[in-house]
Amino acid sequence: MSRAAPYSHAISLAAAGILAVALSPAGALADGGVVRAMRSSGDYQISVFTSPNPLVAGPVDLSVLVQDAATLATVAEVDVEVAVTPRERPYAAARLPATREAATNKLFLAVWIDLEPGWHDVEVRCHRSERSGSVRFAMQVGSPRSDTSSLWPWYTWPVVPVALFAMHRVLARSPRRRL
Amino acid sequence: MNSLDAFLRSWPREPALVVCLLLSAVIYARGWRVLHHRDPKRWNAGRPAAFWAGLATIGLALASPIETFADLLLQIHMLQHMLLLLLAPPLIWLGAPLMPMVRGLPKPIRTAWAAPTLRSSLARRVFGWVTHPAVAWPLFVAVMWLWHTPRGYELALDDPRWHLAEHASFTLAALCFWYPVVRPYPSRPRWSRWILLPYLILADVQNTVLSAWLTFASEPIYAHYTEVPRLGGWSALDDQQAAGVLMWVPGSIAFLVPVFWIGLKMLYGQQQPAREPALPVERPATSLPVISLAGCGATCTASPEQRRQHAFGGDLLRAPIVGRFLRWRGGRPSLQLLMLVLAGLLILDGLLGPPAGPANLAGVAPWIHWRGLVVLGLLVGGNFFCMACPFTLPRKLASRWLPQGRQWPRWLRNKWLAVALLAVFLWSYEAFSLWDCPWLTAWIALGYFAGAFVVDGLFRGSAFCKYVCPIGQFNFAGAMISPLEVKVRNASVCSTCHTRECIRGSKTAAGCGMELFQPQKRGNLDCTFCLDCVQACPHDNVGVFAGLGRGEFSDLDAFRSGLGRLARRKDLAVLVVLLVFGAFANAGGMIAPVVAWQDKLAERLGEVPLIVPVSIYYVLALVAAPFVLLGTATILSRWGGQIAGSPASVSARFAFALVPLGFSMWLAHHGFHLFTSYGTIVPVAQRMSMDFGLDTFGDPQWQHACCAEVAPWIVKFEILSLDFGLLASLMLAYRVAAAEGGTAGRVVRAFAPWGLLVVGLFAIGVWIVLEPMEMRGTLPMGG
Repeated sequence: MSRAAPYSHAISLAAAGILAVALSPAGALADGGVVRAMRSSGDYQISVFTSPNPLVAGPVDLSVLVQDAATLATVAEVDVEVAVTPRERPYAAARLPATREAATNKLFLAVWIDLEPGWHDVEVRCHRSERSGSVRFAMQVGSPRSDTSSLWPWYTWPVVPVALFAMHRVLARSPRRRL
Repeated sequence: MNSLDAFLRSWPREPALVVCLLLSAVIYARGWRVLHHRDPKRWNAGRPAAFWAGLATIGLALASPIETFADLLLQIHMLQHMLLLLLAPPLIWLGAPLMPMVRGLPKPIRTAWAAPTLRSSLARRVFGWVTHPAVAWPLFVAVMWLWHTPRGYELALDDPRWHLAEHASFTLAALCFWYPVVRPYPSRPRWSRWILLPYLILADVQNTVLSAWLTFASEPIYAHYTEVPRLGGWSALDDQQAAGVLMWVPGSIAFLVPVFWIGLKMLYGQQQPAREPALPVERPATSLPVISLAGCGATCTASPEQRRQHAFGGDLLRAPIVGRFLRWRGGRPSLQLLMLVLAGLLILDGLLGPPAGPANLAGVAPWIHWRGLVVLGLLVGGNFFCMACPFTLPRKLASRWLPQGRQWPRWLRNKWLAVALLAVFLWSYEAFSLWDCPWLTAWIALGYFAGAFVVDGLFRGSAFCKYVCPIGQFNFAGAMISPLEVKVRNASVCSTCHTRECIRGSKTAAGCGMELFQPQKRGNLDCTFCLDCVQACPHDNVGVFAGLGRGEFSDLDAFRSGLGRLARRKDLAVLVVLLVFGAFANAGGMIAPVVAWQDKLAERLGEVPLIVPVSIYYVLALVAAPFVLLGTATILSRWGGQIAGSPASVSARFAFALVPLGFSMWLAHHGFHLFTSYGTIVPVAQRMSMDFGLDTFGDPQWQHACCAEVAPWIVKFEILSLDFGLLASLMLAYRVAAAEGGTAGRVVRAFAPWGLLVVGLFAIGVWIVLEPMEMRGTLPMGG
């Protein structure tokens, strides 16, 4: 086997691994975003974040940070439930638990909810044993972005290597030397 | 769970960044190994350590919990900025990355891209300008201050795209700033090192001013941090003051330590021992010298053939387990036997099983799994499915039972028959809804067995594979982009061989039935990967090699064993055009707008059966469109590029350039069905086993046969496939145009019509993958 051969294989394997990483679902975990509500309620201070910003129809991340109302220390043990009610279709309300596993920032609890366009009333309830708190707010969700517009970087990036090649052809006027 | 514990577990997902960093590290490592071999003293282990530490620092800043918490705490965000501005860039430059990165690139990219760019006087002038202290310093300061103004900071926090722009500009400006300080080899600046003292001191002064502004402000400067919940008892103002101190103290250290170091070196001076340059270096006009990386090491004295071999990488036949299996005489037959068993089960279930496609092995396995695995196999390896083809297994039996000995008729020794059969195959798939017709699929499989049996029984060689089999033609054309190729190990051994068993056969092994004489074989066209040549060669001189730029598409006028000159093979050109346009037609026939168009056409034609509009669609897609588009491109190309060749030969040359794009469309389409519906085999297998009286696998889990949600990554995979197909086809079309000769202008004019055609097909492909596609082979919702 030639000297270059193992490295060619290594490069191929590395490239395959790199491609696998690149194609892995990015941003699968909910995280942060824009603050929608931040207030004290009962025993807790509850802060609610949403993303993307602006909100568009489709999967929306809702993240909740629960702190002790008095000390502002992060509360580790708490159950959080999120209820989202579309104003135009109140019968289609969704009620889901928020979990730490769904959040990138492990201080938060998060949930992904599929939302349709329009106004939604949101209630976030936190409770554990005798302690509880809740916060309500409204949010407007815009019309969905088409795949064509949201995926544009994926099908337009070839312009870059084409432009580089064109530049290379302009620059490479001198005879090629081996490197 | 406390905050620290939560911090340590809050890792964001940044696959694109991780990919870039890993790729950079791998390329650097590859280049450093070669340079270290030549000059261990200059390229010691400290270089890669510094470079990788720089990459790791970028990863730490942007792909660790620091990124997750940066939006909540200004001091964490400031730490992120310090890593990008003050730590990562000097570490990267300490690795002297220019030569290892260039050397680590694959040779075609290095010689065709990197070298001309490095030699370019414009590139050198621009680089010298941005890294000159008089430019780098204000650039660095401007970027720092711009993004630390309230408006700039809030913009980056509110919009991820501006955040990306902020980090990119920090990194680039910092790389320009630190370049003159570190002076990585092989830079040779024209200015005195004394300039770096005020350079760094003034940088520290501006850092101090900025830090002091943050530290001593009486109220929070950035409104964002007053609107987010406070963590760890930090108020927004305390957090800002901590950020200011972080910027001040470590920031000052980062600037002042080099000042002391440089000052000491210049005051006490060190006579550097004269060092023989490991490589010839031209005296530069700017700070970026022209470098020659000539020196091909041990392969310099090797013959061109040996160098070509080295360039081809490892031999799969020498790999530990796989190589042994492939060299084993029973290797291929065992694969064929396995496929024969599967084919038998498929035929059985197709003829006797339930008529619904999703519930039948013949409705699921060939149209979802086999098609998807074929294209994936071609992409990552080679023509393994021809290797494992069960249809040719009865070949030996056929040769005993039938009067074999005839030559395949001369007038049929071309691909026209295969082209016709392939066109019929593509049309009939849609016209007769083969995916939903297991009975018909089973009969097609039986027809294949019968056809292969009769043809190979009556005619010598592998006439069925070479001149008849439509599936084989698809595999041959697809294998043109495969990384593996069967070829000789050492051409000089072949030049002394007179017995030529590789094609004539030996007492114990048949020679190549596809008439491919190994020393003159070039590329994968017509190669079934049967490895008969490997078994027959008495010198063990045939292997399976990997490598880039094998010359599959180059020099279409060169003679190729078993094929002749590709530029003169109109039948082969028509075959590839059929496969390319067939890819788009086949995928397009399953999307809603095309289906709706066919329904409307059927209505307009007076409620005719669906076979009529489907046939019209295929005539348009496989005959009219290629004829018009290729014809137009040929006319314009010949006229603009003043190409002397006949229209047919010009068309034929450029047609081969379309192969990568066509293959990428097949990959996108078949990959889609495989990745969304691979689970359909489970309930079918369970149902079949129960039909045979075995309940080992339990009751059929029909939920796996239902429509699965299309994961977002699948669409991205499809588009990415098309992207690479586009780039490869554009490159090949340009090379064909360049091979016609002439001035740069004529080359561009010759290339332009084909380039537009390729881009147009690419756009159609993207449109197809973004439209909802029929989930064939799956049960409807609730089914």
